[in-house]
Amino acid sequence: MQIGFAIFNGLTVGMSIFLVASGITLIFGMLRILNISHGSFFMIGAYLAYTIVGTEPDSVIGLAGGALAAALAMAVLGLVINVAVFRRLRDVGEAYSLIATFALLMVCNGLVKAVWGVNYHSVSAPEALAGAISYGGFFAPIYSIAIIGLGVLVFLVLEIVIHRSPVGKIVRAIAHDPWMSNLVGINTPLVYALVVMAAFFLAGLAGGLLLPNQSVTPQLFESYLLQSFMVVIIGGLGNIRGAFLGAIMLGMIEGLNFLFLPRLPGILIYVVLIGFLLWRPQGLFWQPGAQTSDQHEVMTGGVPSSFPPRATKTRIAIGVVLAAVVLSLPEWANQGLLFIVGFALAEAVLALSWNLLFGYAGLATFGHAAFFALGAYLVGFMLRDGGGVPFLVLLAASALVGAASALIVGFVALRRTSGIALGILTLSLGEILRRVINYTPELGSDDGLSGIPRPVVELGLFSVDLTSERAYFWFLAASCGLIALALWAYTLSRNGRILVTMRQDPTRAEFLGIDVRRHRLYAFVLSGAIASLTGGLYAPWAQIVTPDAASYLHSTQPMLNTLLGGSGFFWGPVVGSAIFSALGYATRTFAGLSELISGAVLILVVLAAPGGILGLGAKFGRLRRRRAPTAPDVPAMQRSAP
Amino acid sequence: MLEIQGLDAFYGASHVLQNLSFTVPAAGRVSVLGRNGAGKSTLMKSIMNAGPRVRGRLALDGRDLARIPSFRRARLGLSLVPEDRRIFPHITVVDNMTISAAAAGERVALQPERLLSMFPMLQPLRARYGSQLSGGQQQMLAVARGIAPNPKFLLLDEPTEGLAPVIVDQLATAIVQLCDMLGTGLLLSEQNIWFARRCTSRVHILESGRLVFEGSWPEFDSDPDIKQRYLSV
Repeated sequence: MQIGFAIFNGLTVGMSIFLVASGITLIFGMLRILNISHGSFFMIGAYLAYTIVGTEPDSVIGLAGGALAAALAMAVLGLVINVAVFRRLRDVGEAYSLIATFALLMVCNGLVKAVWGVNYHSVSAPEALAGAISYGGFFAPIYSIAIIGLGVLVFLVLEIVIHRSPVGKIVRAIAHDPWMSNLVGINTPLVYALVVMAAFFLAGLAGGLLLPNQSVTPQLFESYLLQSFMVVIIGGLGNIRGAFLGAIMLGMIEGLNFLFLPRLPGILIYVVLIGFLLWRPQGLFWQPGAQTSDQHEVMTGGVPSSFPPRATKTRIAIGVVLAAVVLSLPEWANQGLLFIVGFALAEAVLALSWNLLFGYAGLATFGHAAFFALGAYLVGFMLRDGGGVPFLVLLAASALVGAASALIVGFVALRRTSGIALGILTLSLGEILRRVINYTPELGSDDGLSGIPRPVVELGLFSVDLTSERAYFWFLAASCGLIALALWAYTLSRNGRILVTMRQDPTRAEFLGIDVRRHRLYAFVLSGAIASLTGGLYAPWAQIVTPDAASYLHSTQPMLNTLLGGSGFFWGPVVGSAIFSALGYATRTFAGLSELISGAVLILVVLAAPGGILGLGAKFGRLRRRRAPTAPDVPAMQRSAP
Repeated sequence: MLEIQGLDAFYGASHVLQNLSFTVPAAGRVSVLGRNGAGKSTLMKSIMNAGPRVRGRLALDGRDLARIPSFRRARLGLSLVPEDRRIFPHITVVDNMTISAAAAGERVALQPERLLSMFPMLQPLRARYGSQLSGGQQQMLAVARGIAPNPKFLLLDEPTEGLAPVIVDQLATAIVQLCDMLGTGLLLSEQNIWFARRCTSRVHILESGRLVFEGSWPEFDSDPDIKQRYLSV
C-alpha cells in the first residue's frame, strides 16, 4: 500500500516538475539558451496568482482563473525578457548566456523579496479539490489527480503541436537550422518570441495551479529549478518527450527515496543523475544541435584569449599599493568593512581557482563550492572538536583532501563528460555533499558549525597568536596573496601555457603531442586543492560554517566574480570579487536589493562587455593607443558562415 | 531589378567585398565568377543580409533593402540557394519544397507537383526525408526549394560543386527551363565556366573582393587574357 502511495506521490511531483521543465526545454530547443531563471519566473507566477486568489480560493474556478491571469501576465513578461535579454544572448558564448540567465534569476528573486517580502504564505486547496478518492484501501487526493492530469494534458498538447502539426515542422526547422529557416522566409524572431511566451505562460500557469501544493516563499524557485534541470538533462536538452519521461523517472526515484532513504530526502535523484550522466551524457533522446559533450569551444567561445601578464613596473607598483591598503585595513577600517574584505579575499582566491579550470583549461564546473566546503568543514570541525591538531597541519590536510577528492571526481568525470554534462555532474556532487552535511548531526546539520575558535600557530621556537581579529586578518590576507601569486606563477609556467593551448583547440593540442586528459586532470586537482585550502582559511575567519557553503548558489559566486572581472585575465576574478563585495556591502540593509542590483550589473556586463570589466579596460586601452576604431563586431549569424 | 551600389562587406575585421557596384535587370541572368576566396559567397550572403556586415546600397525594384532582415528579403522576392545546400533533414522532400512557401509573400508559390515534374530525379524520392538524400539529390532539392516561392531573383551559390557531370547537365537544363518559364532573374556564383555559360548571358568576375570584369560572354571570350589572369588556377 505504501508503495502505491509513494508511486502516486512521485507522479504528482514529477508532473509538477514537468510543467516547469517543459518551458526550459522549449526555450533551449529553440534558442539554445539554458534558462536557469525559469524556476524564478515560476515563483513570480505563483506570487502573482497568490496576490489574485488570496490564501483561501473559494472555488476551482477561482484558483484556475488566478492561475490563468498569472500565466497571461508571465507570457507578457516573457515577451519583454525575450526582447531585452534573450535576443541579445544569441551573440555571446554559451557560458555567458548561462551567466546572464543566472543574473536574471538574481534579479527575479530580489524583486520578489522587495515586492512581496520574505514571509511564508500558504494557500489551501479549494473545497472541491480538497477531498480524496479511496479505492480498495488505495487513497489518492483529488488535487494530486488534477495535477497529474494537467501534466499529461500539457505534454499531449506540446507533443501534438511540435511533432504532428504543420506548425511543428516550422518550429523544428528553426531548431535544426535557424539561418536557412530565415532564408526560406520564416519569421524566426517571431517564432522565438512565441516560444518564449509559451514557456513563460506554462511557468505562470504552473505557479498558479500548484499554489496549494507548497508554501509561497522567496525560496520557491529553488525546489523547481534543480529538479527541472535534472528532468531536462535526463530527457535530452530540448526534447519534450524526453522531458516528460524524465519527469516520470524523477517522480519514481523520489518515491523510492521516500521508501528506502527517508532520513536523506532528495539525495537518490542526484546519485541517479550522476550515474546517468556518466552512462549517457547526451540524455535519453539526442536532440540535433544540442550536443552536451565536446562543447569546450562553444562553452568558452566568448572568452578572450589572454596573453600572460608580465610583471611590468606599473603592475608591480599597483600590486604593492593594493597590498599595502589591504594590510593596513585593520588600522583604520570598521569591523563590518574588515569582515567583508576578509570574505572577499577568500572568494577572490576561490574564483581564481575556478578560473584555472574555466579560463585556462576550458572546463566549466558548477560545483566548485563543494571543495571549499570540504576544507571549511574539515578545519572548522577539527579546530572546535578535534583536540589540538596544529593549524598549519590542518590547512595542509584541507589542501590534500581537496586534491584527493578532485582527483577521484576528475578521473571519472573528465573521462566521460564535458560541456553542460560536466557542469550538471559537478553541480550534483556539490548538492549531494550539501545534503549529507545537512543531515549529519555531528556537523551541526542545518545550523552548521558555529563558534569555531581561531588558532594559535606554534612554530617550535615561538608561537603566533591568531586569536584576535586583526591578527587573523593579516594571516588570511597574506595567505590569500601567496596562493594567488603561486597560482599566477603556475599559469606562466610551461604547464599553464599548455592549458591555454588546450582551451583554444583540444584537438590540435592533442596533435602536438599534449596529453589533454592528463593536463585537464592536473588542473582539476590543483583547482580542487586551492578551493579546499581557501575553505580551510575561511572557517576560522567566519567562525561559522553552514551547509550553504556547499550549495550551488555558492558555486555560482566564483563564476560570477570571474565573468564580471573578465575570465580572459588572470586577475579578472579578483576584480570581480571586489566589485561584487562592494555592491553587497553598499546594499546590505535592503531585503532583495542586493540581489537585484548584482543581477542587473551582471546582465549589463554580459550583454555589453562579454570580456568583463578588465576586457572593457583593455578595449579602451587599445583604443587610446591606436586612435583607431577596433575591429567591427561579428554578427550572430556569422557562426554559420562563410 | 537588383541594384548593388558601393557595397562593402566585412567578416570581423576583414574587409571582404570592396566597393562593388552592378545591377541585374528584371529577369536578367548574370554569373559571378572568381577563384576560391574571391568573395562570391560573401556577395550572395550580403544580398540576403545573412552573415557579413554590410555597407552600401542594395535595392530591389527601386526599394532600398537597407536593414531589412533576411526573412523579409526572401518574402520580397530574393531566394538564396546556399552552397552547402542546407536541406532540412527532419522533413520529407515534398515538405522541403513547401516550407519555403512562407517566402512567396504576395506571389503565388509553385506547387510541389509542378516542381517534381521539373526535377524528375526527385519524383521517386518525394516521401524520403532530407537526411536520406545523396549530394546531387540534395542540390536538386535545394534549387527546387529555392524556386518554389517563385522569387524575382534566384541566387545560386556554386550549385555544381561536387556534382557528377551528368547531374550538372540536368541541373543546367532545369534551371534554364524554370527561369524561362517563370521569368526569374538569376545571379549565379560559379567556378564552372561551362555551366555558367549555359545558364547566364552576362559575366562578372570577382578578384579579391573587387569587380574586375563585366560583360557579355562574347566579350569575355574576346580577351583570353581575362580567363588566364583571374580564373586559371
